[in-house]
Order: sequence, then structure tokens, then C-alpha cells
Amino acid sequence: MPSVCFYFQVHQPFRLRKYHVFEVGTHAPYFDDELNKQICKKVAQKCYIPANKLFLELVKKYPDFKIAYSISGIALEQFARYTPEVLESFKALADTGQVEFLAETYYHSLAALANRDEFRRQVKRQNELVEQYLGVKPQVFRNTELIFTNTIAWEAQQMGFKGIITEGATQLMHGRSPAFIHSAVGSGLPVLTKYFQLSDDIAFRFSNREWPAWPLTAETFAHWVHAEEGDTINLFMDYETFGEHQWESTGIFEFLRELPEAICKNPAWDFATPSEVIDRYPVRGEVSADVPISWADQERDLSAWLGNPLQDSTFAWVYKLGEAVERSKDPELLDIWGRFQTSDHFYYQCTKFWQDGDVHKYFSAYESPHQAYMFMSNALSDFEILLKERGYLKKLSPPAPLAEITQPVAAKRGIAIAETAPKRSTPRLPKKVTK
Amino acid sequence: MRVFMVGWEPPAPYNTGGLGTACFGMSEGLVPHGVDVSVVIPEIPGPLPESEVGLYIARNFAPVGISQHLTPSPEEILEAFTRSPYWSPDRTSKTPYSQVEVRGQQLRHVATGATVTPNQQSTWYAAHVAGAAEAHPDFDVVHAHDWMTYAAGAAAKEVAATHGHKVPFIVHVHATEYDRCGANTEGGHPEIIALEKAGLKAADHVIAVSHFTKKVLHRQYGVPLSKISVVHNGVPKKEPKRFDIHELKKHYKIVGTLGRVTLQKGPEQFLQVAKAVCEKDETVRFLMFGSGDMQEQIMEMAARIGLTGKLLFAPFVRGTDIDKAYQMADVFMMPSVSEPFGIVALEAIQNGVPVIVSKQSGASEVSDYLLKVDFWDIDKMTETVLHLLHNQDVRQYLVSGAKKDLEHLGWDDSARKLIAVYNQVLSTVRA
Repeated sequence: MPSVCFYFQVHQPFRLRKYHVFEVGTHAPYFDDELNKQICKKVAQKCYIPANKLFLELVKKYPDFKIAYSISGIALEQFARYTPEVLESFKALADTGQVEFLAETYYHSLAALANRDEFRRQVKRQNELVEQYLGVKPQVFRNTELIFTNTIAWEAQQMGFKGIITEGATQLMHGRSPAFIHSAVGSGLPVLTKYFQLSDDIAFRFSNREWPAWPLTAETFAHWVHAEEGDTINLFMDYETFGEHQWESTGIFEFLRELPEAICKNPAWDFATPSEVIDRYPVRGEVSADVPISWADQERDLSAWLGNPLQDSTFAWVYKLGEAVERSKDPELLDIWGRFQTSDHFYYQCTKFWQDGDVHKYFSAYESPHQAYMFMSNALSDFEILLKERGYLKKLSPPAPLAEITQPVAAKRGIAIAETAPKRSTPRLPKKVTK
Repeated sequence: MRVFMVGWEPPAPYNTGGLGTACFGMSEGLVPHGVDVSVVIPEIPGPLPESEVGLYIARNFAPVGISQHLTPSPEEILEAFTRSPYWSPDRTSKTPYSQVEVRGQQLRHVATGATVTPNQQSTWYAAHVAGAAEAHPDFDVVHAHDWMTYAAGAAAKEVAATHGHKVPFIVHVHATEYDRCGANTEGGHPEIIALEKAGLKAADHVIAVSHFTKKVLHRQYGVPLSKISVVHNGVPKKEPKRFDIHELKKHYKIVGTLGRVTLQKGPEQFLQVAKAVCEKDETVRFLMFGSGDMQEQIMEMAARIGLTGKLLFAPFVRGTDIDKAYQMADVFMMPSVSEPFGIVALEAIQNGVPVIVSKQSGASEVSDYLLKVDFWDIDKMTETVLHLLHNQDVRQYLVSGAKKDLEHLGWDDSARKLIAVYNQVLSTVRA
């Protein structure tokens, strides 16, 4: 009996203020509380409140309807602060027992790629907050933006999770179907892979009038799902799809309202949460990712966050400061540092210009990637001074142009890094033969 | 004496660049000497400011037909374009064009906002300025500032002639297209260069803001040296607002620059120096104030060569923030590739900051207390920056010396020289 497995990403970053050079050294606040509050309230009105209301209705109406969420720690924090009604509605969903909440990093960060201890700290902290606010303990791990490698799966297993979620990227699946559970090479941890064609039909194409399938009805969609073979159809998407990316006027809420019945019309099909899927179905094969994959952009790799000099240098800088911050053991500094790690700050600095550029622009709080770079550099400069003043940063260490962190990644992606290429003035010596 | 000034940028507080400041500065300097000055500008975004200088808004005057000899023919323009090695329809901002040209054919019409070519804009302005001259034809001298106004100035002269006045046409060069495209002899907008050449040829006399510009006009535009006088810009005598020592300064030694981020200003040279200095001294930070067509490129280059966190950026600043920006620096750099004058160097001095200027600048002529280095000499520039940063006595010596020189650089001094030029030209024209 195959299942449909829904999971939604819920995240709001702490956006940086437009930090002016004049403010560097004054320790003016780094984060734009006013803007963050405004956006949080706006998205709550358009998406979180109506969508939660609808899902609560559906969950109560259909005892077999199951969904899952992954909420970043800083999103929960902002709900508690700005829109407590959103937090309450998530709690109501959690109380039904038909809704699963997943584990992720507290700051929705790329820590998994840079700092293992920090990564674990963040996951632990998010788990604690989910338990505190929603009263459930996450059992399945999903990394920021579905970024996945064998190592990350291994870490998740070490932390006691029973499964991990990622993108069914072509470079991961190698022609295998994402509709089965696979295990990660090394750890053997069960991996649920996003069925991206069907997920994107809802998340991206739903309101596209150029799309031949427009307007998409629940019946048609259920028909497509029923035609699939496999154990589980994993439909993973941003929660903001409902009401924010796809406005209410597109009919997205009506679509959702009719979907459970349409899917269950075929008695062979039902809904399941990620945990249930892992419990119910066997592992059918192995997947392996040495090079990170993600669910972002056409490439489904890290290029939305890392790869250009702006991103690489600020990323390296953030983690370079980590040593001093960790030494301080000061919760306030650790929290600021964590917020700087949020992946969105690097996403805003992306300079890829084709199709995906538009998506980046839509989500950015700044006029251009370069503005994002400028404000982040200024804020980090101030933070560096703060660390220095408190005595945690002795020597002023410059950020490396490209960190060790990103270099292996780039190398694996076959990207030549200019800085490491031999200079023309120093001709390469012939290799010595050694025995 | 009555002077008909053909300007472009509106006066403070509306001005966006140095041209408005200079044009109105010298006009106000002329008034106390008994010169009756009227300035014509295309338009003004708000109410007219109080001033002793007359102000005409060109778009308020009906256009008057003028002869077209100053505007190149379409064939001439086409020829110039095809000769230009950088011309191609899909050019990017990386090719050495001036800022106007980077926006390329998207030059905005100053009055309508429509997309126009330099030539169309210049012709439009000329017709309206001719209208203004027709309405107020009693003047002795036409004085026009930079390429946008040359055709207009010549038109005003023609209008005066129809009224029977023999009026000299003086062209004042604040910047050339050659400067704006970073001293690249093959760069620049062909149409703008054609307009410049036509204006310089038609002028009875040419005023350059520096000996450096005089040399450019002679070498690049073929203007005879005898036709060019040098009148340095004035520096308004003002006591800048003093700010407390900035927090950042308590932690680092700071090198600053301020200006449009564009090829002409040498931003790449600034980066090279920043890299070299930071390698030798970890406690130095570089600040770059200003926006421009090269800002994004410069940020990416900075990040690539490891200057993230070492070189900080700030957008264009205004008002007293400008003083604040200068005062943040321990050393100010103006590494321009080709700078007719470079008022920022002198403003930095007023704010008590010692200055390193490129030899390729007009400002370098006005004081011996500005340190001068060739813009391309990164090693020398690096050495000079480090030397200054580590020697407070030298910094103070340079600032106090340069401040003394600035006292002889008011608009009043410029006005005196201008009047001498007017009289000389008038006597030749009327002879």
C-alpha cells in the first residue's frame, strides 16, 4: 500500500540590517527587528495562519491524513516573539498526533559543511525548542535546504535519528526511483528522497498559465500520483508555497482541501509521515553523495549559497570567527554567531543570473547580491571588534580568500580555483620519480 | 560685464556631481567683482534657491532653430562608431567606456526622461538655450561648461550675433571623455568626443581646470596651447563639522577614498594598494565611499583577492556625512587614472586628513603638501601609505602645509583669473 508523504519547510531568517560603515565599531544591532517582524507578520497572514487552519481541518476530518513539518529554531523564535498565534496553531497540529515535526539546524545554517561541533549544537538546540514549544521529539533529520552528503547522513545517525530526508536529485538517484527508501552509503541510514517533478508541480508550476496542465485540479494530480509505482511519493516543499508563493487567489487552498479525498479514492493509497514511511517500507537500495546535493535551483547543489567570491569569503570569515566565539562560551555571542550562519545571508549574495536569479531576487531583502555582501561585511567587521574587545579574539586574523571548507567542494565539482593555480612566472618542475 | 553661463547641473542642494558646484561657485565668485552673471541650466527639481546669480531654466524657454554646424552629421557619427574598436551592440560595462557610455544608448533625456543619444540631448539643450538667449540677449561673454553645453553655448553666441553683438564663446573644461574612460585613447563615446571636438574648435577661448587638463586638451583634442588658459577651481572656504573620533579608528589605522567607483577614479589601483598594505600591516582597514558602474566588479575582485573584511564599502554619502567619511580616515587616497581636478583631495585636507594623489590629477598642481605618485605605481603608493600611517608628525606637517595653500584657492581667486581671461578674449574678439 503506497503512501503520499508530505513535508513542509518552515523558515524565516533574522535578516541583517543595512549596516553602514559608520556603524562599524559602535555595536549597533546587527539584525533588522522591525523588518523581520513585518515579514513574519505578513507571511503569517498570507500563509501560516490560513494554511495551518486548513491543515488542522483536514487532519481532523481525515484520520488518515498525515503531514510533516521542519521548522527552523529561529523561525520558532520569531513566531513566539511576533506571532504567537502561529505557534499555537502548530501546537494544535502537533497535538493531533497526525503531524510529525522534523529535526534540523537551529539557524537553518550550512554548519554541516563547516563545523561539526557547531552543527551538533544547533541540531540539539532546535530539537529542544521543538520539544519545548510543540511537545514532540523529532526523530527524522532534514538538513538545511535538503543539503545532503554521506557524512551528513552519518552524523544524523550518530545523533540518533532514524532517517534523513533529501532531494531526489538526478546526480544522487542515477536513474533509480525516488519513490523507494534507500540507505546512505557508510551509515546505512534510511534516506527519503523528494519526488521533485510532482513536488514542483505544486510548488512552482501550480499557477503558471503557460503550463499545459493549468489549472491543476486535485483529481488530476491524484491521477498522476496513482500512476506512479513505488512505496512512497515524497512531496517536499516550502510551506510558504501555500498563500505566499502561490497566492490564495490561485486556488491553492481549494486544491489542498480536495487532495486527501482525491488521493484516497484509490484504496491502495494513503498518507504517511516520514517516520511512518521508514517504519513501514523496506530499504530497496543504496544512494551515495560525496559532493553535497540540495534542493535549490536547477543545479541542485551548493551553488545557491557558495561558489562566488562574495559568498565564499564571507562564509569563510563567519566560520573563522567561530573559534573565538566557541572559546567565549557566551550564549549571547554564540547566538549572534549562529544567526550570521543562516544560509539566507549567503543566498542573497548569489550572482547566478539565469532563471534562478529571479528566485533569488524575489527572496532577497537587498537590492543586489553586492549590497548583501556589503552589509554583511560591515556587520561582521563590527562583530569581530566586539569579540576583540571582550578579549576572545587576540590576533586580528584575516579571512582566507577561500576556506579549506569550500575548496574541496569546488575541486570535486571540477572548478578550477584561480588562487591555487600555479602562476605563470613559476614554471612547474617535472615530477621527481621516487621509489 | 554680463556673462551668460551655460551650465548643466543644478546648484546645491540639488547638485549630484562636481560640475554644479564648480559652475555656481565661480558664478558667485564673479558677482562681488561687479560681473553680472546669469546661469542657464536644463531644469531644476525643486524651487529656485536664493542667489545673487541669475538663473534661467532652459526648458521654460521656447526652442529656437539654430544652424546645425555644431552637431555631427549621422554619417560622421556612424564612421566614428565603426572606427571605435570597443564598439559592439552587446558591450558590457567592462570595456573602457565612460560612465555615460556604460549606460550607453540609455542616456536619459534630462527633461523628458526618454532614452536619447548624446547628440540628441545636446541639440535639444542648444535649441532651448538659444530661446533663453533670445529672451535675454544682452550679454558680453558666453561661458559654457563641458560637452553637454558646447552646442548650446555656440547657439547663444549665434543668437547674440543676430542682435548685432559680437560675443566671444568660451569653453570651460571640467572633464573630458578621455578622462572619463580612464585615459584610454580608443575608449570613450565617439559621439561625445565628436561634440567635444566641435565645441573646442568653435570656441574663441578654452579654460582648463588644470595644467593636466590643458595637456590632455592639447594632446588628445589638438587644441593649440595658446588658446587654453588654466584657472584652478576654488575650494569653498568652510570649517567642516567636527566629529568625535570614530570607534573604528580606535582599532585600526584607516585609509579612505571617496568618489564614483569608475575606471577614471582608479578603483583597481586602490584595491592593489589595499592588498599590498594589508599584507604588511594587519591593523589597517580600507574604506571606499561611493557608488558607480564598477562597484560590483570591484567588490568581487576584493573578495577574490582576500580583502573581505579588510576593505569595507559604503554607498554614496551626502551632507555632513561627507565630512564624517573624510574624518574616519588617517590617510586619504585619490589614485585617479586621469583627473582634471579632484576636489575630494582638497576636501580631505580641510577635514585634516593627509592626501596621496596621483600625478595624473589637477589637484596635484595646487599644493606641494599633497603627496604625488603615479597612479600605476602600486609599490610606491603602498610604501607612501605605510609611511604616512606610521608617522603622525608627517601627517600633521602635510595637513597644516596644505591647509595654508588652500587659503589661496577660493572662488574669489578663480574669479579674478576668469575676469582677466574675459578681458583678454573680449579685446581680441572686438579688435
